[in-house]
Amino acid sequence: MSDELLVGLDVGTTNVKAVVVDLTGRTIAVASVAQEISYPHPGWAQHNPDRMWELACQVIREAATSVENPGRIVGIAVASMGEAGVTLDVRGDPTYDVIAWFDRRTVAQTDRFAAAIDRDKLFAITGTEIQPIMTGPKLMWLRDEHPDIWARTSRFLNVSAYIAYRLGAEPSQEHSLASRTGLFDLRSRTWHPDLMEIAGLHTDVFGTLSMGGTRIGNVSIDASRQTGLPAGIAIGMAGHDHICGAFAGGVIRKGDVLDSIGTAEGLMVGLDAPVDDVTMGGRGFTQGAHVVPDKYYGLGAIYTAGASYEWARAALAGGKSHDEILVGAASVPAGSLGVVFLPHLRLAMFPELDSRARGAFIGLTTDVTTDVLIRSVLEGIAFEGRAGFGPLTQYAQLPRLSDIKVIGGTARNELLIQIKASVMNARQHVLQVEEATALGAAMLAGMAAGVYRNADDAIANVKYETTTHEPDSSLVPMYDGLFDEVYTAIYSALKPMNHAVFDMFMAGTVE
Amino acid sequence: MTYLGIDLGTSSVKVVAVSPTGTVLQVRSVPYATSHPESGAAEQDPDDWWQAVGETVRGLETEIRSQISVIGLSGQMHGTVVLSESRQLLVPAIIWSDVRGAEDSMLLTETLGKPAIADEIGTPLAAGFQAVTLSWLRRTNRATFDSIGYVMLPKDYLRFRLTGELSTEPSDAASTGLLQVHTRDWSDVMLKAVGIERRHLPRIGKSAALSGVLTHEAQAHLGLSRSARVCGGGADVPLAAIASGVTNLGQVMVTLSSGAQATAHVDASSVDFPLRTHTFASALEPDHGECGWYVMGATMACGSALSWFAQSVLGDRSISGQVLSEMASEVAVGADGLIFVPYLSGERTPHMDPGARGAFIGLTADHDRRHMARAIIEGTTFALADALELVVGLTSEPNDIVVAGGGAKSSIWVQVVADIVNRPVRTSPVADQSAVGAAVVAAAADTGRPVSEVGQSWASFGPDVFPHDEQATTYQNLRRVYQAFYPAFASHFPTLRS
Repeated sequence: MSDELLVGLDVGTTNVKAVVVDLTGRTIAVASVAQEISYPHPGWAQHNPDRMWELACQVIREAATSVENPGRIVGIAVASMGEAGVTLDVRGDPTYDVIAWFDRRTVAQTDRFAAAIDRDKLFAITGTEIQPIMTGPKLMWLRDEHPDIWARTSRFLNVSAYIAYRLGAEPSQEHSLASRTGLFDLRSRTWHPDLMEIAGLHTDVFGTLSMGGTRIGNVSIDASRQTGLPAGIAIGMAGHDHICGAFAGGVIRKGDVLDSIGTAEGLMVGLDAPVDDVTMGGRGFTQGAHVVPDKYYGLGAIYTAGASYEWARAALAGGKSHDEILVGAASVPAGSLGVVFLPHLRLAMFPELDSRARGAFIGLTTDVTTDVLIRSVLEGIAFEGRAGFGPLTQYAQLPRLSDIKVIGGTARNELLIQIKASVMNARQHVLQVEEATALGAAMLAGMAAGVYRNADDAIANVKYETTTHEPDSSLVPMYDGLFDEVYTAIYSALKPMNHAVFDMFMAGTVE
Repeated sequence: MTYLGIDLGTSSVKVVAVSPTGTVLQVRSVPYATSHPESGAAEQDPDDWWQAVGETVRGLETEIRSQISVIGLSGQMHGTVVLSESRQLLVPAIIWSDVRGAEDSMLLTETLGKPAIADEIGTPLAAGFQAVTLSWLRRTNRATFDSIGYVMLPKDYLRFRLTGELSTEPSDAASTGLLQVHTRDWSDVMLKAVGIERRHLPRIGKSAALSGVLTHEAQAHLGLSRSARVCGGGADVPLAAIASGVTNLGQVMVTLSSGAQATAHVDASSVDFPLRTHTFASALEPDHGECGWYVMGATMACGSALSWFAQSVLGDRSISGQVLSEMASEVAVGADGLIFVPYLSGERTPHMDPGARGAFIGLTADHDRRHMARAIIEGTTFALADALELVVGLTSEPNDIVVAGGGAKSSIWVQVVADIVNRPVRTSPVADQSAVGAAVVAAAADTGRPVSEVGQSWASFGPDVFPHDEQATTYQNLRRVYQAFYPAFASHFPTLRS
């Protein structure tokens, strides 16, 4: 094996991370810094693009310069959060902040878009419903609310492509991220003219399209100075963070199942071709183009998985360490004394997409303590995973799940993964890949640099350990009962209440 | 001349000495223990009461003790003291919080039927009510039951020790579940159902009538230099309302304590046939043109929900109500859509469902502990508003709402009450209300003035707190959501309990 190195960058909601790996995927160096977010209004969240580039440079430099002989680095690629990007003027300077992926300011634009096209028809084209988080409505919002800024805007790049562009790449769009705009035709892999017209956008704003692993440029001398990378090395096209992580986990084709759990959680099945059943969309699932050329994936997303735990930790157990909190939660009997947590802290995807959904703790008594609430949060995250995987595997025409690969930062929460095993009644194989998203990006960089022949060759070269959590069969019937009789009933029982509350408190924040 | 109010509470006896114009001269309190010899039991030793009363009164200033002329008694409601024919205690007092009779309560209710119970005693039966405790005793300890010579309420046992007299008055008698609500006399239907006869029960006198004089032994026990007369007194709840001047139709007292209560006097014995509220005889005198009954709706969780939050969720029992109020005041009205459903220990009014459970709904990642504190204040007040609405339905549209109890010290909580009920409210600064109410009754017995008149003239209030239109509208909308919760989830509570 040669001693060449690859860099994968993961620009996420919580952190910006750079990882240097060798060609077996072994981590040689890693650097991370907290992502910066501002909250200018309730329901709004945004990142400063220049600052984001600075953070990227900082972590790349820290990782790249810490390895022996950084000259061995032959390529870099950038994975990013799904539905966020930068608007640029003709000179390539940002015209507005990056609207964070989970921002909810675009409800009016989304409603307008949705009214203009049949839901099933849209799903048949794009593999998604139109949602407030998607990049299409975000651009419509900017045009509606800030026509002056829009007039100066000539190009939109997803965060992944923007950072690549700053590194020296050509401005270009990748298929997995294009799949998150609401405008991309999944089967022809082009911008759909009818949808572009509904959004009032011109294809010029997106520029060219490239598949993951394509070489889209070389690190510029200027970027080399800022990042410490060798000038001229390959910049590979990478894409949506979850999908890059799936690639690192070897999940690219039918039969491959992945649970990618972090702040958000992606429930994923690999697909060789898009699912034709459009009811999939009405039930909160999407499908899209994989970062691996010509492959697809089916995805269910839980927007607040690890985020629910982090919320509970901050709100209820401030000042305690993770270990203390999890020891406390582990001491609570399974079933959390009958407290059930619904993790729709930002929106719901199962059993349907609902941007007015809200979370809940149901079943509180005076016996309930912080430990009980934390355990109920972990169980709620697991129930939500079950609520998603059930129908998703049916759409993918897979048998009942018995084995699930697990990656992501929250996979380190062993109590959660153990609970998931029992709630799902399926073995959880935690892939000991430290930074799957960044590794997936690095693998795509390796394809761009020519050190891997193709995606299968990259997967074959990359090695890591796996830890397996078995279900506790004594708990399976109890969790089955709670899931069937209570958990699945909570969403619909709360729906009218949550919509009323949303309309009272959030409607005013949508300009 | 000085009036003495003695309130035999659940955890302590409280004594207030009051001047004829209503000035509280001295307050003293001595605690006693509750024992739990088996699961669900709550017993107290009546001798402990007697010793605590002696210690409390003897500790008053000599000058005050020498002036005492009339003593009024207030007491914890519902409980049971049984004496033999020779007037000896048979078993420890079984107080209101004893739940061993839960099954007997259901049996009695099923046997008689809810509408009959409503029309007979005006109140749902619950474990701890004397009627239920007697049924339980008959079922589980027949020998003791058959030896009963006399049965009485806690404060009437105190009267027995003070004066040798066996008597009660309508307001406490009502709390036994054995008093005919319309006639304010013992209910033959209930006596028969429980297996007790009139001869076992004390005579019912008027609250503001003299019921006896101190025995020499009692005078010495209390450290009084001369004898004093003892009047009927009353149950702690109506006496608290009377001490806050809440005696007339149209007035409602809202008490924010461990649970919350809405209490209003009424001039006729109107009852809620589904038994979601309690209609009890009051210490006021209908024969003198006063409201002879009061209607009460009670919720299980109020201050107790905040205590739970501080202790069990935030893990710090030292966080005071004041600190929680300050946390709550940092977030906007409506807690950004977070709603707390306070049925942590089930709920009384309006659901009467001991198996109900609480919830936080409307939760988002933007909420933190400050929102939760505010939602708890708001949610317990929504529950109170439900109780208030049922009470108002049986009495009269409120023109005067008096907020009392520990929550009345929180200005944010009082504002939340005003906004949610969407009417002006005022606070009652009276501390030790039930003991002061007992002194009110003593003063009325001494002077012949109506109890309500004395109560009104002694009471004082904080300034009016007005609702804000916009906040009232927010709460009106949120309350609709709150009220949708129980019907949507009631069928799921049994699954959660298992």
